[in-house]
Amino acid sequence: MEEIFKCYREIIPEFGRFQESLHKPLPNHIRVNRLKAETDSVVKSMEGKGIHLEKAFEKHDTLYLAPTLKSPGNQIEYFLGHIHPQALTSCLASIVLSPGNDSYVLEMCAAPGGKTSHLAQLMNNTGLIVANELYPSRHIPLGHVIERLGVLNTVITGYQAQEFPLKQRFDYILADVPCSGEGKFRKIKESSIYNETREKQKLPDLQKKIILRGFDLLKEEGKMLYSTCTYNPEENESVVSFLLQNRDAVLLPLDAGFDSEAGILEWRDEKYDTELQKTARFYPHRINSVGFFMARIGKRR
Amino acid sequence: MIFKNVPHIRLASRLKISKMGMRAFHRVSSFVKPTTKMIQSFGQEATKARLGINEEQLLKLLAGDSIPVDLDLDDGYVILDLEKRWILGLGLLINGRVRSQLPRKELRESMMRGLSIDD
Ligand SMILES: C[S@@+](CC[C@H](N)C(=O)[O-])C[C@H]1O[C@@H](n2cnc3c(N)ncnc32)[C@H](O)[C@@H]1O
Repeated sequence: MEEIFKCYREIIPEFGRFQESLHKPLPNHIRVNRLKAETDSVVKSMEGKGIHLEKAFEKHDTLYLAPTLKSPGNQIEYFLGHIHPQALTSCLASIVLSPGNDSYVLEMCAAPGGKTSHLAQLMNNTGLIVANELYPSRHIPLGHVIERLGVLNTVITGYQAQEFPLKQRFDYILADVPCSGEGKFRKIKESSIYNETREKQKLPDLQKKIILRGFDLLKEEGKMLYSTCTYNPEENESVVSFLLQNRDAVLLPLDAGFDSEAGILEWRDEKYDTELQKTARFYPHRINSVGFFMARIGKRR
Repeated sequence: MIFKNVPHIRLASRLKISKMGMRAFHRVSSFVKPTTKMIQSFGQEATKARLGINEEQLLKLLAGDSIPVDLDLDDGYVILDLEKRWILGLGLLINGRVRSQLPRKELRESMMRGLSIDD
């Protein structure tokens, strides 16, 4: 079997199982949208059609694996905005940030809107979310998701996240940055190859600028979540380490309620502070979802 | 636009906003027409101009046919309620017949497959 992401052999535990997991398709996962429907009635209606749903998370009754569901977008529950297809790890990001009702929230890189709409759900449509997305063409799918899911507490802006105006401060910030997307790759067909783009080299620079700006936009008691869907330490621990070196930031404990690995402490010729162990790495062979990275950040007080 | 009025909006108004909240109405020539999404979110509150339909009637509407209704209502938009369970969006009532105003591309006949509506 051809090895994929060989360069991570030393840092990914059970590398053989990791490899195997990359040859299986990503399971369908849906989130029930409590802004428009009750979980029980959605589950009952879908199961009534013969769609098998498995609760993905004991603590949250809105997340379901749907192994037999071929196209979630072709369900009436999708049209009605009662469900949203979204990877489990992507859902965990909003859950870990968990903004309270009435808070003021910034999502720095928001399209296509899975996490924005989930944040709105966790906030019960109260407070205000600024969903920022640089590319105007991506405001269209973002707007569609928000409207279909009945989100009423969100405005869309189009700034470069790294230059988001410093005129105000937020209670919660999600920096779900553009990344190389390695965590989404699965080798389903013989022809699927993970292509590293030239852009990948430039990403850490952009991500570092975004994380600093996000931190500068936080209120004193504010909380930020930095997340990516890549295994690449240069886009993960290195970026968070850069923040710790340049700002009075602290890493907060992070319990997603799922099997994750602590962040790594060295990569190639870089060594990171032991604090970086508070970050979390999610691997497909452990959680059967998209590979993911998260760091929960606060201000030193 | 429908948007909750919250104190934070004063802060956000200092930003350049490209879209806010949910679009509530479309302009259709000189009329205003409520959007499907607005009806889906708030139609539940409506006590008038609600039309209960069954799956068979919905399939007719989706096929582009009109359906006869026996309702004491003025001509105009009606809220389509599938089996008193799901508010789908709007129909247009003219002379005792209703036509679909549901978004064709978003609500497809294939979505009706396997629905066990009668439980
Ligand atoms: C990982 S995706 C975000 C996914 C989104 N949070 C969700 O849950 O649906 C990153 C997004 O950042 C946008 N983006 C890229 N560069 C950006 C920048 N400099 N500022 C703001 N957004 C940017 C991309 O267009 C993309 O939509």
